[in-house]
Amino acid sequence: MREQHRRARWVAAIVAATSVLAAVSASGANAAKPAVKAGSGGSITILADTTREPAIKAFEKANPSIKVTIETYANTGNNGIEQKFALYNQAGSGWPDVFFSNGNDLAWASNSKINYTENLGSSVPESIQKGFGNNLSVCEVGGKLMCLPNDLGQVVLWYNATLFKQWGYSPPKTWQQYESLSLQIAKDHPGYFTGLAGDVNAPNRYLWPSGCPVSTLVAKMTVKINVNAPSCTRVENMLQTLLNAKVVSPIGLFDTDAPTQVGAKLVMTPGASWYGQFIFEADFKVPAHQITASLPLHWAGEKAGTGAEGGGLWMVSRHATGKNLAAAIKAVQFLTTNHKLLTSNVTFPAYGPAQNAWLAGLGRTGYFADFPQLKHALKTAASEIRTDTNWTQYNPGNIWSQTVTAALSSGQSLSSGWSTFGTQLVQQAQSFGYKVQK
Amino acid sequence: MNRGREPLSAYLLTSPYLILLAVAGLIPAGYAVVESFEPSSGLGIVGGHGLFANYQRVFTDYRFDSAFLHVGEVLIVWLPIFIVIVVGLALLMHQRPGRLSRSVQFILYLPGALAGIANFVLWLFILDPTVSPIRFLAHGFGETSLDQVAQPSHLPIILAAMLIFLGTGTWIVIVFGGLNNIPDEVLEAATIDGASSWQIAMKVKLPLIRPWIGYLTLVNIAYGFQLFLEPSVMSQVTHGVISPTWSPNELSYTYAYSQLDTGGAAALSVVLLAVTMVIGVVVISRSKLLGEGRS
Repeated sequence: MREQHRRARWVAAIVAATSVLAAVSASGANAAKPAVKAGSGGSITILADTTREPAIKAFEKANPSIKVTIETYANTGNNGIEQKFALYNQAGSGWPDVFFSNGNDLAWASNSKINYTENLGSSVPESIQKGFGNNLSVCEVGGKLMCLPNDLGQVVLWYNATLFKQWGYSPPKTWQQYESLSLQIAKDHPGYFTGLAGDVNAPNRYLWPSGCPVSTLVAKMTVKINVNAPSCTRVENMLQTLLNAKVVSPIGLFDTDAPTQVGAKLVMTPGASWYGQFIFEADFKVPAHQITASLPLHWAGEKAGTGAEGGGLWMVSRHATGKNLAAAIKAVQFLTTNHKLLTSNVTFPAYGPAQNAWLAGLGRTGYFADFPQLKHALKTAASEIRTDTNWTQYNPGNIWSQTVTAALSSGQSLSSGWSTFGTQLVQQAQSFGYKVQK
Repeated sequence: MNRGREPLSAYLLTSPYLILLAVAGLIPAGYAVVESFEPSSGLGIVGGHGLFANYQRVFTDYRFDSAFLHVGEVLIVWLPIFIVIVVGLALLMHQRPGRLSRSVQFILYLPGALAGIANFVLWLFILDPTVSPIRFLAHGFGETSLDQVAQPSHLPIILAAMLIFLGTGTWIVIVFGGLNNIPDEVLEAATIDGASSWQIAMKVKLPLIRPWIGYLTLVNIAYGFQLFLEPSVMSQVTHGVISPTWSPNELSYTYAYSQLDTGGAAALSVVLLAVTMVIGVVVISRSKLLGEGRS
């Protein structure tokens, strides 16, 4: 009995000890081997999150001649998916023909080492490319079109129209007005909130609209980072003031206690296009006919510009050839531009010509107050996303969590996490091979 | 007895283990050693030069010190308490054998018998103040969210609690085995000589189970240095408040699969291997784990 236990323990310990080593050694060699052609006859494999499954099924139905295999990952995150691609390269086969993900994943999928993405510049018609307008820049890597954008997470100003009317407030237009109105609310209606600071999306909704350089690509592998720039410190000061006034909550949007701690007491917040249905309606259970949005906030005296929280995109494998490649390109075009499909999608389409139809669908839900204003806000914000913040292999949101959120959750000030946020941004950018400029 | 056949059967019996050791242990470890000296072209800083370039790069990584510090903190909090609890309870149960002792042993063993992942999920519920049955504790400290409970400075204590909860039962069984191994005559002789129960436990039993305590220490130190699953789950549920490169093993994983720097990952694995081997040698020689101890 004792010996058995001992042996079992040893074996377990050794297996545990070596599994990482084994995993490491499995990805040993670096160069990708020549591509092995996937089965011919227009059959494709699509790797996407579970949310995208109905859309892919719709494509399959509309194109019965193309055989589609769907592989999914959980829509809560795809940590470690890069590992799969490293292993596909190692094996010289196995890549999905189409891959749905976000900007951070595009950054590694299009880099020289994983080198997965196909340049779609010449295969997607000019007219369709034009339909994406400004938002196609997300997909432009080193002058090549490495994906087609699926949806936008453009930041607008959400607020509770019912409470605003009752309290006699009108929605702010600038960040300065946002700060003073927040302080007013803190004074007149303590216990209500006008924002949250403790989640991975916080940099996207506060720093991005301000032009604060945390991931500004100046060349393919050169990035500008300076959290002490005035465009950053003005946000730091504003958030610190509002946190002190307890009107911006230190917790995060996705924390399990957010619905109870903040929930329906969130009277206003900058937030992505999907906040309405996903945060206010589903998570925070705010009753219908209360929530609406107005135009994105801008800094007084500066031109309009906003940020984006999330936004999916579709990549095509450069390993696909012939009929498969054609089918893969057809699939991403369908998935990003088909009106009927996009109207039924849950997220705001990046493709301009489909936006009105989508918005009409949103209006039919009947959930929102002052829908014409909301519609105008979302439509305008969609073309105002600043292009001086880019998706990089390091995620400023994650670093924000480890530094600023960590400081806030242990009761420290935002400023105490701020300089670590700055240093870690630089260190992590460098660890991925970026040259860093101030 | 046929003397000639004994070695053969011994080889036969150990062969599955030896094969597994080679395939899952020695060969990958050897490969990692080789790989750690090969020039690596990760995405990151092409730091260091010469034969030890990978090591140089890993040693100067800004996350290197903190990763080992974190593991050190966990070990300091966890191991002493764990060893005292396991050995103490085992001695107590051995002192008063019977139905009560056996049922307590069984109850303590239960958490360890559950699969690892199920245990962590259970722990997440215990830690989250919105759902926890012991949320009054968190609320007492003014903590209302998982991020506040699982903030980085609390992690050593949380992990220690987790590991004690998971491991105590299993290890009591093992140490108890050691206690059962003590010949009755020895204990009877001590009683006749007038030793109290306390004296028997401390002066007779404890020295005799030293190899078992050594084994307990060794395996758990090794486990501590390899912490991976627990902190990475914590990192995910806190939405990244706990760094995804919290432990050395996680850092190694990041090297391999985010930075695509296999040389650096291999170097870090070799460092871990070296550290645990040195500790292993010290513990084995001190506790006489592989010899003498049975006398």
